[in-house]
Amino acid sequence: MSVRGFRFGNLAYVTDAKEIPATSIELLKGVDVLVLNSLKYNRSHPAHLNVVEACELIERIGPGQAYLTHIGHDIHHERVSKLLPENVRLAYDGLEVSA
Amino acid sequence: MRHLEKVEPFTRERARQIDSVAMDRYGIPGIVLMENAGLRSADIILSALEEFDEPRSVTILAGKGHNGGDGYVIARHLHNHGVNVNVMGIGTKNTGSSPSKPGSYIETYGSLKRKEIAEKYGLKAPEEDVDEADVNLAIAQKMGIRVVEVGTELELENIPHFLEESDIVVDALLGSGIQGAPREPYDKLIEMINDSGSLVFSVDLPSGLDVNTGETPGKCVRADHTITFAAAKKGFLETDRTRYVRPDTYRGYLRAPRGVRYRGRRRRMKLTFLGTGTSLGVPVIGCSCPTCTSNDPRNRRTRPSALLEIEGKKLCIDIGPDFRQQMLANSVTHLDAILVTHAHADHILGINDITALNVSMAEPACLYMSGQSLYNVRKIFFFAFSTSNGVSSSPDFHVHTFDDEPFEVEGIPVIPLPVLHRTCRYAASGSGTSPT
Repeated sequence: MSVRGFRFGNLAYVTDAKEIPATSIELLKGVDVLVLNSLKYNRSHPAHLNVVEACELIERIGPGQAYLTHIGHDIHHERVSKLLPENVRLAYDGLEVSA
Repeated sequence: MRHLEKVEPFTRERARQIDSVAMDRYGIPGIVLMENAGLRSADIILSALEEFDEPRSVTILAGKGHNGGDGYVIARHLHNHGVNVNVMGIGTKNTGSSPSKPGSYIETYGSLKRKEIAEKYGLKAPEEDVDEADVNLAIAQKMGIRVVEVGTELELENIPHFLEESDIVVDALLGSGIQGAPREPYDKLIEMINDSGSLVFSVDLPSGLDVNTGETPGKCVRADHTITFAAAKKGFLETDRTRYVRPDTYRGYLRAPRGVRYRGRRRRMKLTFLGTGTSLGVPVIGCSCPTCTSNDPRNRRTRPSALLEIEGKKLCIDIGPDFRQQMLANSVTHLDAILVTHAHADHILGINDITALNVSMAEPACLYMSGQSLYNVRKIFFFAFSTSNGVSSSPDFHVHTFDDEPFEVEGIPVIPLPVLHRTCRYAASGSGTSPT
């Protein structure tokens, strides 16, 4: 199943990724806001990134701010939020972000 | 992909004029134009083919003219990529010439200007008139691609079997030069294409469609995708788009190279997360884990979706099973576009709720998705694509397809970012995976 994320100017939204090809990584560079999927915290899943993997990709892409979405119940908002790098946050329903 | 509606659509005359300018003023040989058209089409078809788990074959129906010539070029490039290609041609036995001298096509158009070009570049004018389509037919045959003549080597009644067995059928029967109702055997072939149930790609335009008026004086191919060149054709906008040029799925050349970085002016935008949960949502039915039983509203997650507001336009990304609740919770009554990342259930099952939006918007919705997503969405929401369902409560929407190239949505540039969503296989990996 090939999935498309979308880049709109300085904001990009990527969901349901397990891997991001190098060509797409290049296209993501320079975004201010990056949305990326994370299903679980550090357990691996065949079809989805986990938080640890997502954070590695975020570091490579280097957005100003990243938000994680497509989150499963393994991730308790308050507990996992404390473990995230400065520029990564868990999204939640209703959160508004400007770019 | 460049969204072609932004370009003034071409009439038959304008399309000819552009070809003639390319050849006469710039000296681009006709066979190069044909190669470009066929190569680009082959790329699009190859990417569509990737979406099939176990691709079987592609059948190309090639007419007598230049449209058929595009078909032979497509056959060659697909063959080079290891695709199992069946080619059924019309008029394949009428030509005997198989010119291969470089530059010999220059004479084809017979004008003095082209002779001058030939002289200037030291190209040899041919002894006899040759046609680019014949040249490409001959190349394909020399490469070992079997081209069967419709009606003699392959009886018409045997063709439906081949079409049904193919993942993709390429309609390269009739081009934009044709006017009036398609004659035999074209009319019968068109009918067979429409009955095949395969994914249909028309080259340049659906065979049988009048390029200027969009009228269908006889049989007309109902294309899933129309790969057109340089610009949309005037008739595409006039015709019944749900039937022939199926919801705006024509594509053309991208003028800017793929991967060009977005350099437009900075646009202020706001992203609202409508849903941030996985496919089952959080809480999960029956689960008593700390997250699922939490009182923190941030631990209550509906299926993934987001609303992007940009320059007064509202774009929704994905339309999952919680779409209705999300529209209500955020007081959304109008969407300018809905972009689909892929056709998994948690990203598309809200499509039926477009029906309610149709009422508040008083117009059809606009969906953007890949060809593969459209293929799956059409299977799931077949009733919304039926032209004669008679159901007044089915969702009304147009679909624009994109591939991996930038496109525009309501004037907003969008760069699609292909990512890999590995197929879920729940092997005993010990990782405690669950379906998502």
